[in-house]
Amino acid sequence: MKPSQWALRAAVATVIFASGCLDVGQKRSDFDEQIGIASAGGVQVTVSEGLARVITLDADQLVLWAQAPSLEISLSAEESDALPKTLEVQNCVSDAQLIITGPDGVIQTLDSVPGDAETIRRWTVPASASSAATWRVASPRATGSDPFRFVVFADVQRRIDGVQDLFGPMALEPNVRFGLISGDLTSRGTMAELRRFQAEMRTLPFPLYASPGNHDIGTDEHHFQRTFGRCSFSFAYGGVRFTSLDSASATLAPKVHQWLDRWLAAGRDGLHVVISHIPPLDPVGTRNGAFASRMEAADLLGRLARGGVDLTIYGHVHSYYAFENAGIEAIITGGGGAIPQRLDGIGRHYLVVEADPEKGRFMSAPIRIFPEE
Amino acid sequence: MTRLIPIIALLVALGSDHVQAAPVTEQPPAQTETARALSVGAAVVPGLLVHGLGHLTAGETETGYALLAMEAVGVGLTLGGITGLALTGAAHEWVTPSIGLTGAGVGLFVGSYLLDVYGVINPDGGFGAPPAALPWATVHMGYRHVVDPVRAIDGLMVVGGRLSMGPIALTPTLWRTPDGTDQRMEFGATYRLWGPPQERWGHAIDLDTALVRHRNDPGGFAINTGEVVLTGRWDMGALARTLTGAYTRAGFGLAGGVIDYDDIGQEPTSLLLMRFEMGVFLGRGPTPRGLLVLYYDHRHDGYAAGMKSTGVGSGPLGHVGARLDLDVWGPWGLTASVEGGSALVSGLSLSWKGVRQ
Repeated sequence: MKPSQWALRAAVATVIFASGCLDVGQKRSDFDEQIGIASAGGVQVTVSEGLARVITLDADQLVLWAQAPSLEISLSAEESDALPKTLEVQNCVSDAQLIITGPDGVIQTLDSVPGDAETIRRWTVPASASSAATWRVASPRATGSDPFRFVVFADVQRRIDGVQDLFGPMALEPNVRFGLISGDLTSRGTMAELRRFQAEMRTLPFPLYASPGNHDIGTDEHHFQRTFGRCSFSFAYGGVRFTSLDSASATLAPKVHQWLDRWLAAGRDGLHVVISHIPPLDPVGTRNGAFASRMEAADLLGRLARGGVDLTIYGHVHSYYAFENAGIEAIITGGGGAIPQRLDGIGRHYLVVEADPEKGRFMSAPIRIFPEE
Repeated sequence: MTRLIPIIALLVALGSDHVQAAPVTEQPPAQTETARALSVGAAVVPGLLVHGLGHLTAGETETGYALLAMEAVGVGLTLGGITGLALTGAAHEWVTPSIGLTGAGVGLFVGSYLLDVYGVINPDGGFGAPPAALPWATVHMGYRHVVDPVRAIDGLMVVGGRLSMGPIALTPTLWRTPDGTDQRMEFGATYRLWGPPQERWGHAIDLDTALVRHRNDPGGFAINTGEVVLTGRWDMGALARTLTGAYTRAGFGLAGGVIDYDDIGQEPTSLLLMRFEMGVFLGRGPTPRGLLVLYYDHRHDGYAAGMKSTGVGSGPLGHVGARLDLDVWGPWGLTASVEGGSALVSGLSLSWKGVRQ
C-alpha cells in the first residue's frame, strides 16, 4: 500500500472516530421532549414542561412520577366522562393539592391521601361530563416567599446499599421541602439500579428531583429518563427557580442550550439555582472533572452569570468544594458514597441549602455522614 | 537495551555526550512476501494484545522484545496512574501526577503498537527518511472548517510561522473567524535543552513555552494562559532499523492563567498539558516528500478541545488529530489536518519553508 493511502486511511479513521462523539446528549434532549406526553384509550395527557413522567394512563387512573413540586396536566378525551377517575403522583410533595379547572372555568381544590409512602399522593377525581380538563398539582406553599430549605447530594454510585445512611438524617432536617440529586445515583445506570434507587427514596418524607450523572447513562442513555423523567428541566417554587441541566456527557446538548435561554429569562427576577452533574469548570483545572471544552464552559458560565443565576451546584467530583465560577457561588457536593476524594476531610455528606427569597440569598452547609466510607 | 526502549535510551543519552541520531546500518534479513504478510497480520491482530509480535514474527527479535517491553512499561504506568487515582479519589494533591502517569502509559502502549505495525509494513527502510535539514523559517496560511454542535463557529482562517535560530524557535499562530468575533492568538517560544540545533533532525529535548489568548465576543469572555511544556523527541530510526523514518514525541506541562468574563470579572484557570505524537516521513528526495503525524493532545481549550462521550469516560480526555505535511514544489507545500474532540476541525494550509542546505 502506498504511503498516501495509509495517510488517507489514518485521517479517515480519525474523522470517523471523532465525529461519532460530537452529538452526545442530543438523543437525551430529543427524548426529554417526549416526556410527559401520553395517550391511551382515547385520552391524551400532556404534563406542562415535561415535569412528570407518565407511568400509567388508562380509563381508571393516571399515575405520574414528578420531577417538580408543581405540575400542570392537560387532559382531553375523545368521549365525555372518559377522563381518568384517579390521579396518583409519585415523588410528590406531601401537602400537594389537586386543583381542577374544567372547560367551563369551574375550579375545584382537592386534598390528597397518602399512598404506600409519604411521597405517593392520590386523589379521586369527581365525576365530570366534560371531555377536557386542566389539573394542577401543587403545594399551597409553592407560591409563597417564606424561607425554606432543600437538600442536595450526588454520587451515590456503588454505595446504594448504604444510601439510607444519607436518607436517615436527611429525613430529620427541619423545613426541607424537597431534595435535588446532582447525578450519579447509580454505578452503571442499569434499570435494576435505577429502580432500586427509586424504591430507597420511599423512606424520605419529601421528594427528590434527579439530574443524571455520567454513570446513570452508562448502560442505556434512556434508562434514566424511563425511570425518573426529564434530564434537563426547570421549575419554580417559593420564589426560587430551580434549573437542572443534563451535563452527564461533559457538555450540554444544543437543545439544552436553547431551553436555558427561556429558563434564565423565567428566573431573572428572583433567586435562581442551577444544578448539573459535571461542572463546567473543575476548581482543580489539571484534573478536568469538568466539561470537555473550556470554551463551552466559559460560554455557559458567562450566560448563567449574566442571566442572574445566584447559585450553581454540581457533583461528579467526590468531595466538597465551595468556590466561584464566573462570579456565581458554586458548590460541588459529591459525597453520596462513591470512592471518596482523600485528604479533603469531608467524606460522605449531603448539602442543606436555605433559600430566603425575601432577602435574595442562599445559605448552605454540608452535613457529614458517618460512617464516612 | 538502550537502543530498544526509547525512554531508557533517552535517559541514557542524557547522561552521555551529545550525538546526532543516525540510522542503524544493520542489514535486513531476507523476507518473502508471505512472511511479510504474516508479520503484518501478527502485528495488527494478536499484536493488539502482544505488542512487538509483528517484529518477533519477522525475526526482528530484539526490536520485537523492545516493543513488548515498551508495552509492559506502558501498562505498568497506566495501572500505576489509575491506581493512584483510585487510592486518592483523584485528590488534587495527587491528581496531576496520576493523570500524567496514566497518559504516559497509554502513550507508550499505543506507541508500541503503532511502531510494531509500522516496522513490519515496510521493514526495509520505512516510507521515507528525515530531511537533511529542517526549515529555518516556515510560514503557513490556511482555512479550518469547524463542526461544533454547541458553538457557532464554522470556519477559521489560520496564519502562523516558525522561526528557528540555533536552539531557539519562535512559533506565532493566529486563528480567526472571518467576522473576527472569535480569535485565538498563540505565541510560542522553544528552547532546545538537549539535542541538535532546531534546524537539524535527531533526538531532542525542548522546553516549550507559550502565551495564549482566546477571545470570544458572542460569549463575552477571553481565556488567557501561559504555559510551559517539557517535550522529548525520539528518532526511532536511530533506535531500530525497521523503524527508520518514524519518530515519536511526548510532552508534559502545565498552563495557568485567567478567564476574563466581560462585566463580571476574572477567575483563575489551569490545564494539564500532555501530547503524544508519532510521525512518519514520506519520501526521501527533495520534493515531493512529506510527513504524516498522528497525535493525542490533552488540551481542553482551543477549537477541538476534549472528547465527549456517553457514559463513565465523559470529560477527562483531550483530542486526537492527524496532519499530513507535503512538500510539493521547491519551498512550497500543503498541510492537511483533522482534529477530533468536542468539535471536528479539519483544514488545509499553504506553506513556505526556507531551508539552509
